[in-house]
Amino acid sequence: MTVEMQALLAEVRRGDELAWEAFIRTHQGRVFGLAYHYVGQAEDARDVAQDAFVRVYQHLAEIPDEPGLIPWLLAITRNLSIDHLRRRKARPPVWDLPIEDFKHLRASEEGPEEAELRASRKGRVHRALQELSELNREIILLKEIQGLGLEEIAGMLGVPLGTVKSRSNRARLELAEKLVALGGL
Amino acid sequence: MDFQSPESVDLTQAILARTSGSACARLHAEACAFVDGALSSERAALIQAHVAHCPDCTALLETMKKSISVLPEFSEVDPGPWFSHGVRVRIRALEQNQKEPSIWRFLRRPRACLELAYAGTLAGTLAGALVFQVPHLERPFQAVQTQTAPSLLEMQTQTHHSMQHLDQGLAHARAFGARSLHVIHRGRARLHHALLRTSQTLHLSSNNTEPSQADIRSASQD
Repeated sequence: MTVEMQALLAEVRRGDELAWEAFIRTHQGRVFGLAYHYVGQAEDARDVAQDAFVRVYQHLAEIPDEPGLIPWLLAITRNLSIDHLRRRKARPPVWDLPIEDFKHLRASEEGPEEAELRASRKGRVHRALQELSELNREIILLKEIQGLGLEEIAGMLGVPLGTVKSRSNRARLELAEKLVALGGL
Repeated sequence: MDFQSPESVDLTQAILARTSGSACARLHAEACAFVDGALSSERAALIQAHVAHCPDCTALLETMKKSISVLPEFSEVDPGPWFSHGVRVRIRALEQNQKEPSIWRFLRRPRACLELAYAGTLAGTLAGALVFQVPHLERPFQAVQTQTAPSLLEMQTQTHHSMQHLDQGLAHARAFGARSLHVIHRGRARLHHALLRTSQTLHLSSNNTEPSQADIRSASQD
């Protein structure tokens, strides 16, 4: 954990408003990204993500240090997203955000042609993700997209580690098959 | 024949079709381990040998390798410029809510109206049951008290009176609910059966040689 993040967390736990705002800005992209992939609508995802931060605020003193912080935060977001989906059973997700809103990690280094290729590739990935089964999409979301470890995912989903491993392999295979069918990466 | 020529590849496919079938399914089972570098060198070499002749599996493995770098780009999505402001508004609303007296917070819940209506209905039903008591129900049970070896006629008279009182009780019970009615019906049926059994028993015993109480009294006076 960097010294800066360590210091920030200490200030957040003490209830400092500026530190809290910095904390939100640091993690809002990931929290909103996870919520959006679960609930499929930007407005609902925003509500869920904000509720996740409110929940964190209510337990400021319990915020864990860096290695456990992201899994803890994403677990809260996942639980709220699933609660939201249960309440909103009848409406299917529509994933209404344009693909350009997904953050580009190295966009500033790319030329226009590269950027267009990247956007097109991301569009195929986004569509392939939507076509996955719910179970496989969740595994891809937590492991391949959010970078959580297998043990963390097993703890979050409440299933054995072996189950997560086999599901992860099946999910990656299904995603690759769908991507190949859409024209590859 | 060159082992890499199309003719040899076709021959391999033909033999596979007649024996184990295509090896693609086997590759799919080990694709993740291959991409992650978790296979032994021998196993990886077999997979490499297969993909050299299988464009479908080549595309699959290439896609899996590239997705490792592409997928993390979906981890963060910009929620818009007002997101943190929205969080602060919700926190302020929550703190405001917690300052209110608990009774107002209780009454402002969506289910509060439903729960109050339910409690009111229950209270009204119980109050009605207490106010409109059935006065004659205890009499049939008093009337059923049997004296020592009564005569058959006396038993029949008492049974008749008991039934009358029960019928009166039923008439009152009908005024306030089917549940009371059901309970009373059941009690009435049980009482009726018990009286009939007792009556039959006494009738049988009076047909035997035992004298009635009246006979015993008149014999003692004599």
